[in-house]
Amino acid sequence: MKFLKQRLFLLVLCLTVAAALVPVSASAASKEISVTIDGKKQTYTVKPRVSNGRTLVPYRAIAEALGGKVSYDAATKKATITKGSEKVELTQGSRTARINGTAVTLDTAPVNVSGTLLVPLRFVGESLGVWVNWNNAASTAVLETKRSFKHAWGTTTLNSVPKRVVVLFNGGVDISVLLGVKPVGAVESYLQKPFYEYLRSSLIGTKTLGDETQPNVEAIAALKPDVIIATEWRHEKIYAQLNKIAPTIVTPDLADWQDNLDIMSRALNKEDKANAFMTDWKNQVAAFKRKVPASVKGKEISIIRINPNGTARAYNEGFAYKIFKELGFATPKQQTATGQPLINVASYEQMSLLDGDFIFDFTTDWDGDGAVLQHQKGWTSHDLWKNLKGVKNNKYYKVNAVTWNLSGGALAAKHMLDDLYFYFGME
Amino acid sequence: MIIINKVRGCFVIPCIKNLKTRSKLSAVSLWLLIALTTFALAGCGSAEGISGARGMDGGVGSGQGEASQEEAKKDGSGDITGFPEHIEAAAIADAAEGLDLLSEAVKSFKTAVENDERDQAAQLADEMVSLWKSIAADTAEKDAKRHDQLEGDLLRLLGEVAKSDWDKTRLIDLDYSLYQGVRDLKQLLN
Repeated sequence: MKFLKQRLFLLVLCLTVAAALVPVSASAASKEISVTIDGKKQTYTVKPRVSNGRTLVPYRAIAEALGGKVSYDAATKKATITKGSEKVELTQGSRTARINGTAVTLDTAPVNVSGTLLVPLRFVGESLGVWVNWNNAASTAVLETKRSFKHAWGTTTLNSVPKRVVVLFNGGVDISVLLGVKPVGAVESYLQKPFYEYLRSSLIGTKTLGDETQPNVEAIAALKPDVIIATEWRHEKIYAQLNKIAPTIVTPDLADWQDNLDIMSRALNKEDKANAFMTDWKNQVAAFKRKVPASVKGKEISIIRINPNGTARAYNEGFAYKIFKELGFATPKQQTATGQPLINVASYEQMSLLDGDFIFDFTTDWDGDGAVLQHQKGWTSHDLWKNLKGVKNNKYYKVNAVTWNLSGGALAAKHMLDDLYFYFGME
Repeated sequence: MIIINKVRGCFVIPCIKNLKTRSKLSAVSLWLLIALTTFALAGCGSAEGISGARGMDGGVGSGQGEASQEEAKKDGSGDITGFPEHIEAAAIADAAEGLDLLSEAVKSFKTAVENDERDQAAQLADEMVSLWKSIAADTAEKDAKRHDQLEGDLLRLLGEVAKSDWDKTRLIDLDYSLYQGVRDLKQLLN
């Protein structure tokens, strides 16, 4: 009896220890994971499971569903998937895989379950040029073999996630850096050529393609891109030429960085990164609104520049304007009254159009000869200038033209928001 | 005949042409030459030296702020070329903390300048120098170009603070440049 009790005790102890050692992921895996490809739910003989946060699926099923051919070497336990020019090799128990012969490290190794090799779904999908996203609410891995983008001049369809990307506007270059996609070609920056200093280190090897307003079409063609990302404001005249070179996606608004980020992330299969950035951005905007001093909240912001021809301009549209609106600031009433998005201030007599509770000036010395700065001096030394409310209250500031105006990208937006902590004396 | 030429605003005596006059005046002229030369050299240095002196004597800054400007190394033009030696490096945990503190000091400096708080602004300038001394080596290693830009801006800011007539716009422009440079370095560290 004593012997039986001891054995029973040992059995219970072993079961308890075994239960404690069962990883959390196993309990997580008890929730069924679904996989859809182009909207169709996939069925597998061996159910998908999660390991190290990665969904594993039967290799043959996923490869063939994506249009790939498969082979398996039982001796080396290696699965090979080929699709078009892409070749993916995975080995059971090894985190080293190969894509077209180049070794890559996986987050989790393929495993054998009931004689079936399960491989990382996202890795295989992305290696074969498929858009892969995770729908957490539905515990569903969503795969798409093509995506279409409607724009002003039609619909552009991509049949695989682009690898060779050409970007034809500065905001898009900024966004590509944020998304971790180095373009094979991009337009030059307006200043600090070839690319803005805050982006440059991420663009080593990217070919320059001329000015945003006049990209070099021959140079674009020579790069043999998979996709060209253009914008309506700039590229209407050359759209047809671009579309002959490669599928061309056209963003509607050069200055709407959030929309541009959304479009580019969907094209480049980088929605996770874009979503993370936007979540952080919204948190930062909310934090700004909480912290902004009462003396600054809701004030009228005048955004101006002096033009190379000596006139001035006030902005009721554009990159910086949109950000101020999002932060809850107002537009000077005399500017709104003009009904114009870009207000041309042709003479000193119209000086009052430049006024605001705060005046931010991103005048740019385009030609590097100082001429526009002389014009700026002319405006800011005029008696009428000194009477402006923003000037009298010492709220006139010259700001970074690159991050406030010339770039127009997501990273630039973050810089501009951070600048406002400086200008408004916020912690 | 004594020929006096004006060179760069200074009066110098290059030669005495009349031999008779030369012999008579040899002793007197020697003393005169010494006196004039001494006067001329004092005059040449005065253009920028006076502004520096004004900065020292005419500034409304605190004793500490004024002393630090006095002790800053200046080149012949009066521009500050080195940080005051009496300001010690701040005790910080690491470069990240130093940059955070520097960023705060930069923002506070702007507020002080806009509120005409000269004492406060001068003290904050010293604080920036102290923090910079703590992190300069690390930042130079990370990004030499940004290091040089920041150091240059800080030196120029010190020069502006040292002046009796503040150019607030210039001060805030330099401060903004510092703010952006510090931000760039913080991102590099991350």
